[in-house]
Amino acid sequence: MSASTESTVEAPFGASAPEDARSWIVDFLRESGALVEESPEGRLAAVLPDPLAARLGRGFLDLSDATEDVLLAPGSPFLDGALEEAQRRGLCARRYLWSPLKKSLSLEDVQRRASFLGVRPKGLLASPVHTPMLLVHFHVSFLSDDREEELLPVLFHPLLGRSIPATAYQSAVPSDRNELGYPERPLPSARGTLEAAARAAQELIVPRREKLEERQGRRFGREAARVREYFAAVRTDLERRLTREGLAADRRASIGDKLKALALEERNKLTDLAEKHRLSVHLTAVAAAVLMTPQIVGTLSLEARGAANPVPVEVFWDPFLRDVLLPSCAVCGLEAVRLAVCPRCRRVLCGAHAGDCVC
Amino acid sequence: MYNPYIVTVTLPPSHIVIETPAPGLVDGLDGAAFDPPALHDVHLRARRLKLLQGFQELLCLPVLRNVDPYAHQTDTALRALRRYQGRALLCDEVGLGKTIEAGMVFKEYVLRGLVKKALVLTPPGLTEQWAEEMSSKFGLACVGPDDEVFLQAGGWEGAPFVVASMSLARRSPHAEAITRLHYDLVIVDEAHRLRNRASVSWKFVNALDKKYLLLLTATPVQNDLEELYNLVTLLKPGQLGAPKDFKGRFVERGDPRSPKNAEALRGLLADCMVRNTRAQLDRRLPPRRAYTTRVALTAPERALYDRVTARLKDAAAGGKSLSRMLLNTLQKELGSSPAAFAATARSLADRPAASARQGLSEEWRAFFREAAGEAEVIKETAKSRALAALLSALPSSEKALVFTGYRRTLEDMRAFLEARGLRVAVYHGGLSRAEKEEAVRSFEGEVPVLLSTEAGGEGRNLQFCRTLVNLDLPYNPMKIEQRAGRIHRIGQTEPVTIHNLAAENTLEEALIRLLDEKIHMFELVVGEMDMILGELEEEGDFEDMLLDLWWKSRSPEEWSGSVNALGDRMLEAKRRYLQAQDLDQAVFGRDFEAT
Repeated sequence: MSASTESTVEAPFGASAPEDARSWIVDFLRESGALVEESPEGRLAAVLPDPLAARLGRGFLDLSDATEDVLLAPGSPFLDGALEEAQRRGLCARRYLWSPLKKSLSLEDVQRRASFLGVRPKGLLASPVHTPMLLVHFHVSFLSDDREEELLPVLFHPLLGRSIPATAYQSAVPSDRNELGYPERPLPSARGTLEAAARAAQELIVPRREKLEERQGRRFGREAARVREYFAAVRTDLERRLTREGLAADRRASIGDKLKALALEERNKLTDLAEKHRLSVHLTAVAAAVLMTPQIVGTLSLEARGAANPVPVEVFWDPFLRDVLLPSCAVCGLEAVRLAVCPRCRRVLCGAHAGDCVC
Repeated sequence: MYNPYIVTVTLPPSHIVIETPAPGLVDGLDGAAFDPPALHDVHLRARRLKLLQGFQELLCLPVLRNVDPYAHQTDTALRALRRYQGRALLCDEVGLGKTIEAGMVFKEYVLRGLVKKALVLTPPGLTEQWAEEMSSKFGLACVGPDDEVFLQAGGWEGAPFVVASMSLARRSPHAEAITRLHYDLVIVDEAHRLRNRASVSWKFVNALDKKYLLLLTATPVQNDLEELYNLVTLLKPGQLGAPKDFKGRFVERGDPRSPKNAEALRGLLADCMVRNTRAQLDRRLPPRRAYTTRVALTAPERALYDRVTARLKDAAAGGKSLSRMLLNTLQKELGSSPAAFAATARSLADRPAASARQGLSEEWRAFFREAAGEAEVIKETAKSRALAALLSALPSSEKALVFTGYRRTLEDMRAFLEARGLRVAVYHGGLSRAEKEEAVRSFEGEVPVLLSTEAGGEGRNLQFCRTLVNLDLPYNPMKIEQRAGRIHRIGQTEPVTIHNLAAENTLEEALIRLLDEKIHMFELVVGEMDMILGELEEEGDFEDMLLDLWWKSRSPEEWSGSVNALGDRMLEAKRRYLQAQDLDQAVFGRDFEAT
């Protein structure tokens, strides 16, 4: 068994301080095939493989030389080059989580979590499987007159089509192979799954986004008020001149032109301000880990009123959450705690959307 | 009631973009082509290392080169970023490093991906200096409109970072091209030139489509307070109200230089302005004294100087037989030493490629051959004797930094001094990094003299030395200041002595007369000379101005009259600068300091 997935799920990794860069570069060089030697006194030397040396412009690194510390300072061309190199493509890995399933899933377990609307649970067939949970890391940039970024982990259940709290998985013990021997469920199409995970990510960032929107609104409001006040004062002055008696026609036209130009300038200034303060959020999936998770899958037969055959739906028992995961509503994507089924297309719906199926 | 002139603009809703997953991710997952988990982990850690979090700290500090910013500069940069959100008036007193502050803000925005296109507008004489400083200190590759790479990059539209003179940028067709573009950052150096709202420069900067704007000036108010209003209005229209409100509220009736409601005015200015002062920063440097040693050229030197100068002047008057650049180069080399002149003259005479490039006639080649021969036999010059005497008169513990603009002069002087038993170290652009280190180390240690060219120790701390000798003087006063700045800088605790060697009855002597005797340049604080030159009405380099006069004057009397007239204009410029400085001190005091 190798290192814990704790670091994969939410690695405690500090800000860009030099010592962090140092430990990172050691690991990065090792993973990239460099020969790295670190003495107990901290003397560190590395010989880089040729392709990497060519890309980073250095074949040898002696970090015991204090002058080389600048190489590892945030923003230094060498560190930037190495970081770019590490991020050249999206990375995906697969781990098997270790958690022997000691219990089975019963109909009573499901009934304790769910209530039913217009359907009746008839039976449940349960068996252990390895479910491909997908831990997707999104790089999120919040751009305005400032730039803030975060790396957002989203633990996504592709078979249920929704995210689940990642925190429960922090104690999971990973392995490189399927030691429990449970059958494996395949991962659905990656593109669709990543798109669904991105939608889940959007929901997760709502609190931060709203906070930033409020801040930007305040900043814009403050600055726009100042600009408006300024232009209003100049405009009032010009308009007052227009009301003067006996104003010659050419003078009147000239003031009119000035007013138009002033309005245009004000619009430009305000548009500049709005663009400066407008929040723009960019999400990019940059890495994904398939966490093959031992879960009990149960096929629940639901008898719907007026239907000839029962509707099979899948529920899961998750050993890390220690809970039953019910199917998601086809309308809102949330867990259908009050379970209903569309009489036409037989999709699962929640109580709130029982009459509003998308079919 | 509907008013067609009322504008409504609201903040648009947030823009959410879900970008394509990183390359390889979809294929990797679909094809079950998994990477080793440890590599995945390293990848994520790399992502975390690169995350940016507001402006809590400056990311640029570790990557600055040849500059060790002072606390007030760091604080100013942070204030411009955090509190002023990139729109600031940086008004430090001269010599406190406004360029460094602006460079830090610029670099910080670039590192954070917030600035991808920037325009720096400067007076004409400072464009190269800005581009060089942005590159050497901040790693920002700025190009000028005259650079080949500017056109290669696609001109105004394609070049990401451009340094241009205001006078060029505001002219057609450049102005039209520039105002069509969006700039993330615009920096205006010597922004007091924007003090008039009716000026072309002010209107041009006002019309630029820009997100961040930094205005740099040591004298935001020169004649009246409306100038300050105009600068602030460029940054933040309305910050000081409408023009009439400002006058009514903040300017004493009948005295446009006197503020009323000063506290309220300062309160409003505090939202966009930083002004660090020497008094606050305790950066008063020890005094520096300059001495000019006039030397009479030796007979062979005199003959060479007069003969070559006369011939060059004839060429200048006669039109196009020699380019102005070549004329200037030869005259300046001649002023430095016969050896410096001989090297170029010999090359023009004997190297067909060099003479062909200059389009020289056979007659000119013959002249240069003869003059080079004449110069090469002069082994002992008046300046070398004077230098040896000067160095011998220094106390044994005293160090001396000797500058020349020419490598040939440096080598000649080295040979001359070493032949007299003096130990010297040399520093020039042709040395490797290790050799340069060694030169500075030995100068700090056992060697009493460092002979250096212009490349001498830019950004190095040589404050252990307090004597500087100018064997020759650059014609650009900024470069003279840079030389002095090598030892007369923060950290120097002893008075600094500057010795200028000038040969009598030469162009160099006139230069010294103007700079030292007329405006006492060597007693000014670093940066003040810049301000004075900026006050001159002429838009062009001081060097060009002086050399133009030199080539145009046909008699010693005419030359003397031109130099005196230029000196008077410089004196008037100095008076205006000092007056502005007093006014700024009265208006702002010490209320806008960053630290």
